[in-house]
Parts: sequence; structure tokens; C-alpha cells
Amino acid sequence: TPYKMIIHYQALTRRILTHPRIRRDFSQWSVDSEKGVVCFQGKPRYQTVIGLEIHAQLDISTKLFSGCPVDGNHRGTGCGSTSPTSLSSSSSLSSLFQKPNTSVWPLDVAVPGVLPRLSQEAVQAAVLSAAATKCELPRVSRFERKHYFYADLPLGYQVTQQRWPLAREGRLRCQRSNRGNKKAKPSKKSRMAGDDDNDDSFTVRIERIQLEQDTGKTVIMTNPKTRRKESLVDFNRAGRALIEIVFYPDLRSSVDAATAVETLRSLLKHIGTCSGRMEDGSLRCDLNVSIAPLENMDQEKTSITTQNKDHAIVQHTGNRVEVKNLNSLRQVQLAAEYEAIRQAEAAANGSPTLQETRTFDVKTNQTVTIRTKEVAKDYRFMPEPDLPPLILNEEVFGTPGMDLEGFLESNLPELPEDAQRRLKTSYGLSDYMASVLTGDPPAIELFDTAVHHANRQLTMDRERKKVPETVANLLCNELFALVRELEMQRLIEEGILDGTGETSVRFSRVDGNQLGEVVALVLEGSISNTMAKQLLRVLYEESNELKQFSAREVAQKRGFQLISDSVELAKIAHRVIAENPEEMERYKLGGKFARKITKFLLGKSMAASQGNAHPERLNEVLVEVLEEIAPLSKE
Amino acid sequence: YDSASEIAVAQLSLKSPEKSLSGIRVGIPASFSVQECPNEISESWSLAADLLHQHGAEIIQVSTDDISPRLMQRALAAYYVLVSAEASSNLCRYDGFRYGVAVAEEEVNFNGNSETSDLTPLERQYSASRSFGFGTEVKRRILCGTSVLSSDRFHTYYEAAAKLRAALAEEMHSTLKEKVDLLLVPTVLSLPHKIDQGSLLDPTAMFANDVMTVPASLSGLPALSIPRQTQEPSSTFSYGMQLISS
Repeated sequence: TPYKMIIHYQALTRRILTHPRIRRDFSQWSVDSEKGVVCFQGKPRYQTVIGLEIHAQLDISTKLFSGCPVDGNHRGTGCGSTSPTSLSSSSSLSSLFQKPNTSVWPLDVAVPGVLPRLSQEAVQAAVLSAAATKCELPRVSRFERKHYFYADLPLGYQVTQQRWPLAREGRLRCQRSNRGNKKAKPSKKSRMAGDDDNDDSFTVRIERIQLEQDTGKTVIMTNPKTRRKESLVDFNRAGRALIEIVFYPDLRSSVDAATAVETLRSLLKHIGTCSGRMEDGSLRCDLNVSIAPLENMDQEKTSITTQNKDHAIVQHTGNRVEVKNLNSLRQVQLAAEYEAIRQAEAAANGSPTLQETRTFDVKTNQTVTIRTKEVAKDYRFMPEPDLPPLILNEEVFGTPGMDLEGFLESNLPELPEDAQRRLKTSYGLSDYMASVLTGDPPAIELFDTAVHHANRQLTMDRERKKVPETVANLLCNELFALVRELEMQRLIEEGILDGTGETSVRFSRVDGNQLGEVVALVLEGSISNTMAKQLLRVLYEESNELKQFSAREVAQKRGFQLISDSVELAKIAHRVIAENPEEMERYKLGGKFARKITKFLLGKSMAASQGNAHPERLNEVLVEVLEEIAPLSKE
Repeated sequence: YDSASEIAVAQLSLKSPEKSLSGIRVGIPASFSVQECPNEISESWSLAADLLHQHGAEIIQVSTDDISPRLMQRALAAYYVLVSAEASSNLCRYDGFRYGVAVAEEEVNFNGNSETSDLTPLERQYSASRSFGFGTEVKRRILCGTSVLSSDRFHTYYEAAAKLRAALAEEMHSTLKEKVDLLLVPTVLSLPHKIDQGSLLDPTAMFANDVMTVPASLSGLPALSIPRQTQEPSSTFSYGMQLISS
């Protein structure tokens, strides 16, 4: 019965998302989250096929055609600098908190007589987004009108690009996360092109990217006076620039779909064209789910390659169902799985689902039909007569003589996959470290600067070898924590950031040069690791007062210095020896016992010095002291 | 370069028959010479040409090779297809929701009948406001425009009209660039009808009055209509001529 299935389903929801590969049981049907195979009583019957359509709000200063300024945080394209003062000085909070219908110009509500004027910024942001996804960018694209009547569409049509979109045929390379195995090295197989089942990475093809207008927002509220439900429309969002990214139905599972969305989201954030906040609606995802029957696949037939098999499957895909209103990655995953099973069940019962549009109900984690009678909409696409064709030339790039290549050259930042590769190969960083850094683009710049600076300060190759790792460790473990602790709360309180922002070293008061110096101090043996952490904190907390001093000078002033003085060290050694008489007895036995105990005492001495003893000197002194106190007979 | 203002200056100095228009080439396109053109207008056309010639302009016959009659004959149809389509699109915004005429909610629901039962309440509201607020001719054009933009008809009507427009515009533009500076053609092919006759006339037949002005509109070319003194002092209206330039 339906009720039984629903309850069973809900109980499983929590588990599914924390454990991969758990199958979703739904009557006798289940779907594998990672592989997307739908099984009946354990036997594979269908393959999930998913296509994504993502709408990303471009993070620019005005709307697409009206010139109406968009409030809230926005940075220019590319990575921001690390200085906190580079934040936009708008005193208002993000557009999330704006009063309805306060950010509206005449064109946005279709006041008669106003004509559209294309924002250059929007084109530039769209072009960068297309280039970051390796799309082809034809020189000319055109705008068209898509007509339908709805309260949130003031013009009665949406200006979009249907037949001649801005970009076509791109791709997105995604990484499947190895849960809990963050330091895992990718297998040799994953280095090969194409997506295999055994792979850590897969590629999703992009069919098109087009520029279009956003609609207003409809909200349903209960009128306190009449007690009736009313739909209210807020036009603040109407006319904002969007890019619609349409993927080919290459995805095969719910987890892959969520991964693809997340990859795109962080890519657009990285290049600065979209803030990527699904909760706010700056990144919206529509899901197209269908299933393809798996014939009795003979598992032994190895002559059929994975790709051919997939192609054969997809040829028989059933009707696709569009699911709208998904506001988080979790919802994307849940909706995909629910749909796969629903469709499989229907198909197996002889009444396969028709093409339809559904919405996702967050309370029940199910998809729900929007209309009982679905009639195919005729949008009556018509070329937009008020706008000229969009030509990617110097006019749109804003610099005389600049062409597309030149524009990308100077404006497209290093892409995450390229940065990840570079950090791993040039610096030998682990996958995990590299991805932490690429997760926060200003961190990459800071890292590069720090490494460069540290190298300049060190003279010995032996020391230089350890620079990248040391910088990465201090950056990821210490600096991020400092920023999170000391910076983020203040910024939120001052209203410069809203609470949904992630920690970024963009706000750090310690820059790459300083970090590099600290690392150099550690590696040349002037300070210990512990001292380095303390030094960083001091530099951070007192950044204003210590501005004119170098890290080295500060270290000296504050007494951060490895204890290298023999007398000091000897004192420590003596004390430790005195505190450990039993171990000393063992030591006197000599041979391997002596070696073990020496190590033990060394550890204890280091601890006694709070990690500030110079390791080699301490070792020498300890050995000397031991020789003095308990000389061993030579064998 | 504004050739029209030169003509205006020439008219002012009509008294002195200087060759003030020398160097200007005025074209008379043969394809604009349509069957429906009454004799009075043809005569008026010739007279206008003579007048310009007297003032020094060179009168050139623009052959049917340069501006083809085939395109001219279909220009009117193309025009109305495109104009209706654009009108239907531009008028979508008039739903009474943010501005303009709106029918009160109570009245909307009162008039509910089987025709509108499958519409949503919002659609019914829009429908009522628009039906009430738009006049007959406007409604006619909206319906026509919506029809030609619909997916089954778009190809046959809108696209064909757009192609025709592009072809005609191409011909007009190149003629005006290479062969002549101005084109001289009549503005209308009939005099205005009486007000009380208006409702009796077939609306489509009314469109036919535009046949002379449509080519310039479709091609995006500026045109100036110049009224002319009629021969009989008793009649109020005259046949105007127009000059089209690039």
C-alpha cells in the first residue's frame, strides 16, 4: 500500500546519504545511489538516465537589460585579493533581505515604451562561464522571445536564446568523492579519458549555455484579513541575468547528478560569475529523469565495451519526467532516486509514465504532479526585434582591439582542475591538500606567494624541499582556523557578509609573504612547529601593530626561538632523566635497550621543552648527558 | 546626408528655377507600378517626377531586375504577418495586473462559462481584462499574430515572411546604394474613405492601402510623404508622393 511504502522510504532517508551504495528499498524495488541501477527483488531491471538543466544567476552589478542595480555582495570576475578592504562597500545586506518590489526599474515590470539594453558585464560573465566549461563560442548568437502568461512574467514573454545560444558543446569533468578516504591516490585507470564504471571521475557533456532573463518570484501566503491563500509576486528578481546550462542526459545515478551540480557550482564560484547558493536561488537545478530497460545483460560478454552497452541501453530510454523546485543537493539526489523507482514500478506494471513535469515535496521526499492534464506548451518563439544579434567583439569586451581569445586570456582565472593538477605535480601535494586549496581560490594565490617567498629566504635545497608541504599544512590547518575564528563572525556581525558565506583566506590579515617567512623560519631551524603556530596567531591578532615588522623580527622580539643553548638543553635533559629512573635502569642494560630508551627520553625532553627545543641539538645534548650519567660499556 | 531636407529647401525656392537638385538621382521603380494604381495617381506620379527633373534631378527608371515585382506583390502579406506577430508579442504585457485596464474579480468569475473552465483563475482574469480592454482591430491582429507564431504555422508564415523581408530589404538597400539616391513612389493608391463607411469595409481590404508604404517599413528605410495640391480646388484631399532614401 502507498502509506507503507512512504514510511519505509522516510526511515531510510537518513541512512542513505551517509552511507554510499545503500540501496533504497521501496516495496520490492530498490535503486543503487551510485550506479543508478533499479532492481526488482534484487535483479537489475532498469538503468537510471538523468539530464540536468541548471539556471545560474550571474553575479554582476545590474540586471540583464534594464540597468537596474542589483544589491548585495558581488565581486568582479576572477579571484578577489586577500585584503578585507577589497569587499564591496555596499552597506546593505544581500538581496535575500530586500523588501519586495524595491529593486525594480520600468523595464523589469514591462512598463510600456521601455526598450532593453544588453549589459556587457552579463555577456562577459556568461562568456567566462562558457569558457570554463570548454564550450564552443560562436561569434554570433541571437535573442528570442519565449511567450507564456504568468504573474511573475511581466512582459508576457521571457527574453532568451533558443536557436542560437551563446555557447554549445562543452563538458564538465567531475570527481566522485572517496568517502572517508581523503588521502587516496586515484587509480591508474582514472587517468584514462572517458568514464568507466570503475573510475573516480566522469565527464558530463553540456549541450548549450544561453543567456536569459529571470522571472519574478511568486510566494503563497495567507492573507490575515480574509484568511484566504494568496499568491504574491515580488519583482526584485525579475530581469536578472541568468545563464541556463543544459546537459546531455549523460548522468546515470543520483549521486553522480548531485556531484555534477556541486562541481558546476564550485566552478562558477571559482571564476566568480555566480555565487552558487542553492538555498538563495542563485543556482537552481531542474532534473530530467527517465529509465531505460536493461535486457538480460550477459555479464560474460566482455566484447561489449562499457560505452557500447551504455549506448544500447540509452536508445530505449522511456519518457522523461522533469522535476522542478529542487533547492539543495540532497533534494536532487532524493528526487532522482524516487523518480527512478516510481517510473520503474509503473513501467513494469504495464503503464509507463508519460512525459510530465513534477515538483518535489520536501516534507515527504517525493515528487508530485503539477497539473493533472499536461498539455504541451507552445512558446511561440520569435526573434527578439528590439535587440541586435550578439556579436562577441571588442565592443562587448569593453576594450579596443580585444577579441575573444584575448579576453579569456586576461580574465579567465586558473580553473580548479588545472590548479589541482598543478598543485599536485609542481608541488607534490596530496589530492586532499590540493582540493582544500582549490576549494578556496584565494588560497591558491596565497599558497603560491608563500612558497615563492619561503624559497627566497632559504638557502639549502634540503630545506626548500619541504617548503610546499609545510606551507600547505600551516595554511590549511592553522590559517583557515584563524580566519574562521577571528574574522568570519565579525564580518557577519558587521553585515559585510551574510551567514551563508564560507571561510576564505581572502579575509586573512596575514598574507602570503608573511606565511612564507614563517615557514622559512621553521625549516631553517629557528623556530619549532609549535612556535610557528603561535607566531602566526600573534601576527594575525596584532596585524595592525606589527605591520612594519617582518615575521623574523617579530619572532625574535617575542622570544620565539628554538632552544639551542647547550646549557638550557642539558638542564632539560637532566630533569627528564631524573624523572624517569625505571627507564634509566633499562637504559643501563645497553644495546637495543639503550637505543629505545634514548628515543623515549628524547620524546620526553621535547615535550618538557614544549616542543621548542632544537631537535638535533637536543639529541646531541641528551646523548652527552646520558654518557656522563650512565656511561655504557663499549661492546 | 539627408536628401529630404534638400528637397524641402528646393520647394522653398520654387520661384527661382535654379538647378538646385543637380547631381541627385531619383529612381522610379517599375515594380511599384501596380495594376491597382488608378490613373489619377499615375498622372500625379509623373507630374512629381517632372517637377523634380525641372529642378535638376536626374530621373532614372529602376528596372524590375533591381527590385523584383515578385517580392513587391508579396510584401504586403509579409508585412502583415510580421506586424501581427510582433503586435501579439508586444501586447502580451497588458494583463491588467500591474497597470492598465483590469476587470474586477467578481465580474470575472461571474462570467465563467464552459469555454473558460479549463483555464486557471489567473488565466481567466487575464482573459477577461484583455477581452474587455482591447478593441476589435487589436484583437484581430493579436489573434492573427499568435496564429502565425504557433509552432505548426511558424515555418510557413513567419519564417517565410522574414525571408521575404530580408530579400526585399537587400534589393532596396543595394538599389539605393548603387543606382539611385532617392526613390519616388506614391504614398497611397486611393483617397481616404468616409468615416461612416469604415465599418462596412472589409478589414483585410483596408490593409491593401498600405502597399506603397510597406516596402520602406520592411526594409527599415526612412521615407517622407509629401502632400500635393490637387487640381480641383473643391476636393479636400490630394494624392501624396513619397521619397525613400537610404
